[in-house]
Amino acid sequence: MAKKINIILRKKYTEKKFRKKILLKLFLEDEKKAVLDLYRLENGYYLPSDVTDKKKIRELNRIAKTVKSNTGALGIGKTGALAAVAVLILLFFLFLKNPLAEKGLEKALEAAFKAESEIDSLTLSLLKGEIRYRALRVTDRENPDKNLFETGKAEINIRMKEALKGKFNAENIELEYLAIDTDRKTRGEVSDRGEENKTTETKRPLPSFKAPEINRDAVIKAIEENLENLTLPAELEKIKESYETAKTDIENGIDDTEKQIEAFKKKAEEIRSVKISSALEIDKIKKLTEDISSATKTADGILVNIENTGNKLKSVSELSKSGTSLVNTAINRDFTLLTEKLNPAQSFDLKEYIKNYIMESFEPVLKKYEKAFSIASKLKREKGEKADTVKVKRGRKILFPVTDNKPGFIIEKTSGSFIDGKRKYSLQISSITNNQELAGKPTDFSLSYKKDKESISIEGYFDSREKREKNSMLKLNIPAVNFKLNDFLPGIKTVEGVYMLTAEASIEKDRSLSGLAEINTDNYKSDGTDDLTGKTVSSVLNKNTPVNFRFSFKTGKDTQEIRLDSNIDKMLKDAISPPELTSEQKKIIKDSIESYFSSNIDENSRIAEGITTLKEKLDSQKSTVSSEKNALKEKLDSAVPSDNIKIPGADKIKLPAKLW
Amino acid sequence: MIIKWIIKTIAALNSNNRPGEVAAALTFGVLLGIMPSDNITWFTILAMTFFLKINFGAEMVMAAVLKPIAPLFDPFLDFIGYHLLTADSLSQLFTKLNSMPVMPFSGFSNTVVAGTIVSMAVLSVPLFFMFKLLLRLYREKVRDRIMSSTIIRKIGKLPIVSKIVWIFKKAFELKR
Repeated sequence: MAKKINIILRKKYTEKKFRKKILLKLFLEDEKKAVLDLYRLENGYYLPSDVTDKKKIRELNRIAKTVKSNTGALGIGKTGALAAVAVLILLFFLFLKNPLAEKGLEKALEAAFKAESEIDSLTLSLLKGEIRYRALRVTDRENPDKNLFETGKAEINIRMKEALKGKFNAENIELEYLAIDTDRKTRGEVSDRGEENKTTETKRPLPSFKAPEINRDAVIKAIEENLENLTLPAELEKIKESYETAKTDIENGIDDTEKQIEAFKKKAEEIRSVKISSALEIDKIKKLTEDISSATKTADGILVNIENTGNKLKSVSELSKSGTSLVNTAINRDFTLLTEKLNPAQSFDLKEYIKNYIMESFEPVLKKYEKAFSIASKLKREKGEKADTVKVKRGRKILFPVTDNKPGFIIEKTSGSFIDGKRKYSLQISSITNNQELAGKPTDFSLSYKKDKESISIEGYFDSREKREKNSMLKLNIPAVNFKLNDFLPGIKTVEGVYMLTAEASIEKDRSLSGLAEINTDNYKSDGTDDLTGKTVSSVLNKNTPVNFRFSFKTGKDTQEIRLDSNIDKMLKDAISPPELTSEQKKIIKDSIESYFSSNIDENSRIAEGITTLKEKLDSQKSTVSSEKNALKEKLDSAVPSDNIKIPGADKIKLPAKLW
Repeated sequence: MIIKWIIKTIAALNSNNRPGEVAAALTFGVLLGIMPSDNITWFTILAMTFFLKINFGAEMVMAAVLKPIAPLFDPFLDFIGYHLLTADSLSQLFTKLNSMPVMPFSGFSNTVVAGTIVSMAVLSVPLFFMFKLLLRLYREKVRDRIMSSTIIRKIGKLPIVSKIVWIFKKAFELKR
């Protein structure tokens, strides 16, 4: 069957309709001509002619098709195609929206933190305004082996109305956990990172502090070093001088007495040699009596001298006693001086050591705090706070005021947990936003941990508002936590106890970090080494007196001030002060002093002993004089007649009293 | 895709396609070419042209040609856009627009986008008629000369060209 021409070119048209429906839809002259050749004009109508030529029919059908296609402003075919595309997009969106959203969010995080970011299993529900994911990790730019932060399972509820205004307003975020500074399984990629700043953590060695042992050599050394300040050598010298003076005086007295005794003995000999044959030799008797009287007086004088010398000897004995006492006093005085010099407490400066230890303990906390602040700071408005325009890739963006007073990005509440080491804190953050001025409040956070008897609470804020007092504030309170430390203090192997901590740290407007921490420790149980250091520190700790630390710091761009006040050094010094020395230590010091000055002491003793030997001589002199005196008395008795014979002046002779 | 658009454009220029369709496509192409594409306004205009009976190929080719040289127009567009967006009398309107849903994504606050919209609102009608006139002139005066020129004939006889034309004829039922 022969192919027919398309219906629109087989119809009969009025002149006007033919022009409107056919001619005005043909824009090529050869095609217009071909159509006009087909039709003939009769009585105001365009009538089609019969065509049998197949080629011509095909050509006319093609022209008819273009005439049809040039109808209307809307293309039905295109609309259908568009509908099909829309369906395809919808299907594509349904199945690929989650991976696309996951990628999109990863890219956004990577752009914000300039480091590799990963999100696992994200599901997006646009109608509910809900985003869920299983895990999120953001690499730390400064250390790609670590995550700046990571979170566990999360559920985010977004206000879709605000999202359509280009704002991210999350009503609530439920986080399984949030952790910062965690290890990465694989090293993260970071963009345009500067010099790698690797810090290797080295354990601070214990200080070189070592309490000196009190032994004989140490004491002798201390004596030699402080000889001029000791009182014992001067005392010993003084005593020696006194002994020597006394000895000279006594020896001189004895010598003088000896001479007098010799003269007396001679006189007595003469008197004894006088012989009286008769009582009638009155003159002779009288003279003898007078001579005996005179000799007796001489003997009495000698005996007085002997007594005086004896008294001097007695005073030497007293001097010896008081000298011993003076030596002992001097030894005690020197003992105090030397124990001060030898005091091991002089080298105790645990406060300084503990300052470093505390600083090291606080540093990781402060680093985490600063890191959290830097993460919060990244949410600050990036696009000029007060600028009217912001330069964009092409052109400028005019910043129109916001009429609804809501920030472009805000997470009203986040709750979950925060993992730090072995502790899992419950976490609450409110008002995470890029515009706290509009939010009208800073980003508040609180962390709390409670397990058994241990509880920790941390709260604070990050403030970026114009009228803020500080950039950030952190308060930490730990009521009572048991601790056990190894090699914490010199001389201490292990120490256990309880500590209470209250701390406040803040980041000022100039970004300097300052803080104050009060740490009270108690209930120590320590295991010390066997040396003096160990014994001393251990005894102080085990006294169960609270040890307090007050630690303040301020670190700015160029400044670093750290101050620690503690009662521990005073306690240690008191513990090793002289009254607290052991009897063994005291004996060592005293013995060492005596031993060092033993030659001087011995010499004094020898002098004293030498003086004591003079007493025998004095006794002998006394005995000689007494016996001579008695002999003279006997002579007088024998020379004088019986009682009825009166010897003139005989009654006047007084025999000396008992001499010694 | 690009080859398809180019062939469709050549076909549109030389076939019985209504000149208005091609002129409108080229006008939209200019708009899409010079406007920054990082906003939903651009995508909305593109989507809208799907519904209109215009030559999509010609639109895309014009947009692709203008895209690389679009920054050359930026100073002019920025000037117009900035004056429009910072006009005191319109500030309330723009502030309200800024707080409306979706509008922040429209890029209206970008000076180049605003400048393009304003410029094209003024220039699109003259451009449309200019393109239409040029097309008619081309079809009447230039087309036959080109088609009958020796070079085009020789090119048309090249096996690769006739093969491509045949493929597209089959695929899209193009006649020439």
